[in-house]
Amino acid sequence: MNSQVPDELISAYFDGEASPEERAVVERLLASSEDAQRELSETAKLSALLHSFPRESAPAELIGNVLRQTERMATPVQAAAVAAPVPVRNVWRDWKAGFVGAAVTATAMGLVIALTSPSAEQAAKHLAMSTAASDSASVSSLEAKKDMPLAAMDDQSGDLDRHAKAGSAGTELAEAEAIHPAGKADPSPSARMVAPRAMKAAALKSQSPAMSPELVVDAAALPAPVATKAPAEEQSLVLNELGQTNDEFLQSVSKGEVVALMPKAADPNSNVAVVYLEVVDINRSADQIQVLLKKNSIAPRSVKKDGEASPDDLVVIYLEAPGEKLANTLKDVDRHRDLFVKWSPQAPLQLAANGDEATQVLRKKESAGRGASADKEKQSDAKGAGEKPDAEMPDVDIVLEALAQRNGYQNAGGANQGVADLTSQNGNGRDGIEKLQRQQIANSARGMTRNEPYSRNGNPMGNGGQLRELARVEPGYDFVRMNNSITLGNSVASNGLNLAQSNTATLNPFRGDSQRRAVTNYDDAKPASGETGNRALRMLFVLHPQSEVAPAAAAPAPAKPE
Amino acid sequence: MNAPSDQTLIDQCLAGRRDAFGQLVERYQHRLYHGLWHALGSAEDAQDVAQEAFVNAFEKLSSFKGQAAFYSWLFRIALNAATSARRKTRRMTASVESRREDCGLEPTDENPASEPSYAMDVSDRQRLVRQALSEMSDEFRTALVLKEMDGMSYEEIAEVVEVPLGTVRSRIHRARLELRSKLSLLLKPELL
Repeated sequence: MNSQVPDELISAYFDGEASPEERAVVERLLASSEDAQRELSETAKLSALLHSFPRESAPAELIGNVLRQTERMATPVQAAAVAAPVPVRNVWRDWKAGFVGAAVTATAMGLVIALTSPSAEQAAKHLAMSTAASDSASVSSLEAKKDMPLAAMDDQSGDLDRHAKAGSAGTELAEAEAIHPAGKADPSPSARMVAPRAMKAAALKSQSPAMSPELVVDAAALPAPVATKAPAEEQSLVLNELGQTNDEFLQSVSKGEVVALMPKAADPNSNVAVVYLEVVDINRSADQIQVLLKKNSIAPRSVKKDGEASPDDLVVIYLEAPGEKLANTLKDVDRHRDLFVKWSPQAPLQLAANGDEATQVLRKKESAGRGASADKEKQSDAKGAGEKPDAEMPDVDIVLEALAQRNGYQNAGGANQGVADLTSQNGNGRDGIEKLQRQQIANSARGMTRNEPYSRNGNPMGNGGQLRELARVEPGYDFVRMNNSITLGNSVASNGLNLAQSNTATLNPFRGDSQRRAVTNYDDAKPASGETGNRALRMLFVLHPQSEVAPAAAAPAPAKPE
Repeated sequence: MNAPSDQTLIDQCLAGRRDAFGQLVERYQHRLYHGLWHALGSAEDAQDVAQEAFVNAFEKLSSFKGQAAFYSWLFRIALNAATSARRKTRRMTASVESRREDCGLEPTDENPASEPSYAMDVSDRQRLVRQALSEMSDEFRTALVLKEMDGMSYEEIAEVVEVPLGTVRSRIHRARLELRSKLSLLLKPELL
């Protein structure tokens, strides 16, 4: 055998794994060397011998065994939840402390996600699922660990963390630094508390056609057959009537599609988009959401939940993260929509712009002074009397108050002042909101029509929520499809969120030109050229358990005036 | 109608459709079992490891990045499961040894493949090849089996066993040399 051509090369040549140069060498050798020919021949004979074995078929019971075994297991994402339980901390005071110390990103945007109610069929399905899950040791494990410190839980996140970091660890670490310059650890301790029941009421109210004009679709006129085809479609709010509009996107939307309203770049620094999620098991879903956050390396700024929330409570998760991470989180939410009954986008809250909802609340609270909690006072002091709050990360309470206010307090007249008054009187904003919401509910029960969120533009919306009407009255917003594979792309150059629908089109709602681009999958929803992709946005999850009434029936029946 | 791709089935499974995972199992169970059967040298071990591999793959599906082929990823999981099973076997073997020392009795071998009559029922040649394979190191045997029995490319084998491409080439070549050497002692020259 020619020592210049090792047998290994002939072996690779036989397998078709030699490079062209190596092949040429071997073939020259084969033409002249009997040893090389013998080596190749013996390799071929051995290969033929090994190939003479019959193809062994798997025993018939193999697949059955596998499927039986996996049936008893959680789905991969649920399993991930087990692998990386998210800390559930105790709570309110930690949250307040965390909020006071929270670093702020001036160009952030928030997203509020609340949980609302499913149909009976969906509820049964999810109840069964959640019951099964609650029976599992994984849930026990998760619950047992809920008081562990975040860092400890991080250590236990194992595969999930590795998964989340694989491929983009460097970027995400850099992003984490950008968000939390004080360090990699969550600068704002995750905390949980029971959110005001008033907020639950607000969320419930907003599900009714009368109370949810922030949804661009007309829930009141849902054609029943379409809405009951499948759970995914049940989740979708069906357009009642598109009407005539000059907006190209709106013209392309067809019945059955969910359309969301998202802020345009016109007011990029101050918007909070609102999405409600509807679940059966509030605690489990809160954990699942946090697992999804964890998977995307997002540490919640605060989680408002007091241990085990009762079925009547809300859970609020407030966070801040780069748009790409938010996009991935929403993508996960959408991919695992079986974990939730429904999620629906709401109109964004505006938190920081002068004259907008939360800012007004914030200023009222600041001016109330003694009415605020000690933490709030510290925050006020830190900002200074004349300093605009635009650069501050809004307190989660402020966001909630803004949401509650938008959801109906204006019915009572003087919403901002009312909030301030209530806050001042009670020394506690949540109590104020609770009262506010009770008043709102009472007003609703009397058949009063609340002002719609867009009424600040002088164009109150009716229950129908006609798309063209919304587009007309709210030029700062645009519509995006929300059903099927929603993703929240990053569009930081315009400092907004880019919602995409898989396999159809992406509309960047934050561009004045209503730019579209086709996407075929989530990965296509990348930041446009020139966009930096790592600026922090805000996100607030407000988790709400299912209501006892179907959304379409949730509108309070007008009572006869006394 | 084209069958859905592996990635499509994985996505569906991650979205909560367990039946999609069933399709993946159906798609790869025979190939995996065949490869494991030769890599492990035992039908029973192959079945156990294949089952464990599929279950583990289901658990870890969300961590599948699609950078390698699903089957390569699955076989990697199977090899890990086999390694874990071997550790248990070693402990069991130690226990058997201990039992023999303790009571002076030879443990009963209930494996029919160990019976002389069983050996006569199968091709001598194939049995001897299996014997030769079983005497090889795990590294060589796995590389050769993945190449010859499973039909993987060197690159795929490199992904599965997590070694450089050159190492795969070397292992396969050396495995062939070793197997030929062993078989030359066990088989008549005309059979090799």
